[in-house]
Amino acid sequence: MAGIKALISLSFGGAIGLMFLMLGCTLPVSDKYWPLFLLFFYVLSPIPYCISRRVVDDTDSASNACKELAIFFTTGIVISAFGLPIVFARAEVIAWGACALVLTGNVVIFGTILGFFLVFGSNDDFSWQQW
Amino acid sequence: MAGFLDNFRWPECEWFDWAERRNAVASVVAGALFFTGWWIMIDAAVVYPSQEMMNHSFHTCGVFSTIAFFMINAVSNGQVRGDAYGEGCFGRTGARLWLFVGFMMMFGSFIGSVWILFGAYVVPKKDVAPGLAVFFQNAFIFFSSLVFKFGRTESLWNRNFSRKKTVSPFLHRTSMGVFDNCLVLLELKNEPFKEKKRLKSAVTNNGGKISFVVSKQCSLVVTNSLSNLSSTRLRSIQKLQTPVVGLDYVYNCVERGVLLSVDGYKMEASSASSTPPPPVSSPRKGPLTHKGQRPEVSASL
Repeated sequence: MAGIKALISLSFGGAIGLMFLMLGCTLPVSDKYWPLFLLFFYVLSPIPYCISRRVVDDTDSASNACKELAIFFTTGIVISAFGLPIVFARAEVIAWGACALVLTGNVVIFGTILGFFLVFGSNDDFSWQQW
Repeated sequence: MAGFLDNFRWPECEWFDWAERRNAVASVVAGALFFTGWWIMIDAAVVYPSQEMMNHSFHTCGVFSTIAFFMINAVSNGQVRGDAYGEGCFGRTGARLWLFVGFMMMFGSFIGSVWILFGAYVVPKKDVAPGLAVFFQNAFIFFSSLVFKFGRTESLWNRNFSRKKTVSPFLHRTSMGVFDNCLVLLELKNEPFKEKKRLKSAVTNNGGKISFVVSKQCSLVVTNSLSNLSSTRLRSIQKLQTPVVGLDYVYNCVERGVLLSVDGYKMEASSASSTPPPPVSSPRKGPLTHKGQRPEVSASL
């Protein structure tokens, strides 16, 4: 078990990131809940990588096309999570201060997700089910 | 004065293994460029919503760029050269045609975006920002497809990890691998998945490496049936005289702990299956030798 401490600090990071997201919804002007669309991107971001790990069992080769495509789409999802608040702010749907808060929350959440995969993802028995 | 930068070297960045991570870095860069391009366009569409400021038909450039991106990256360089396993839908010529059309669409969209920028925005002296957005979208998608196609190397798809982070407890490692220095190609079409895995582990747990192409370095081809091999592979095998054996050769070698002679396990064009006669145990660890027969083995995993 790679550590309870790591798990707790990752969940703390996640909580802080979500806190920034909610602050972006309620500050400086309240009731603009548009940034909550980003939750969709947060949930979506680990999925391509997980799919590629399940589909290709080739632990021997250094890389394969499926994994690279998954990395491509994951990068895209991360970029989209940064682009969406900026487009919202440019369209004057949310304030620029709210956009900055949401972007900070983004950085924290994606750092948390990355940390999760680095700490817990690299053993061979990273599986969701037992055979 | 001339050449004063000749001995200048960038400081070495050793903590990051560029060679092994090249594909991942290229994928990240390509993904960032591609999606940045699209978000630039989405931003322009939001900020300039009317038809006069930005004609909605300018989106077609980006759409064609995206289709071209996926077309270009759908075929691997190996397919175009002809040395990938399996022929794919249309063979090598089809792959080349597909790539040709893909690149043509990509160049066409890029040129179209430059045309839009100059023809619809710079020359009529309108606010140039939407035109720039169209141009940058297509430029980013263009460069993204180049990075994704040429920034990755396919040799990493065949190379084994030089360093493993963890060793699974169920892997059984022998101190001297029976298949040391063996590069084995597996053609196991129609085999159940568990059997494929079993065979693959039998090879790799005993020092062998898996190959995906028939090459000079490939020392052995293992298959369940000769008919599974594609004609390209058959040709290469014939040219390089690679021995073709059945699955039982691998298991018998592992059981006896030595690299057996391929005689008696070889698959001929006339017989579909091979029966194992008493093997000649020769404790050779070097590359397999083979007689000058006509091995026809095509193995595709």
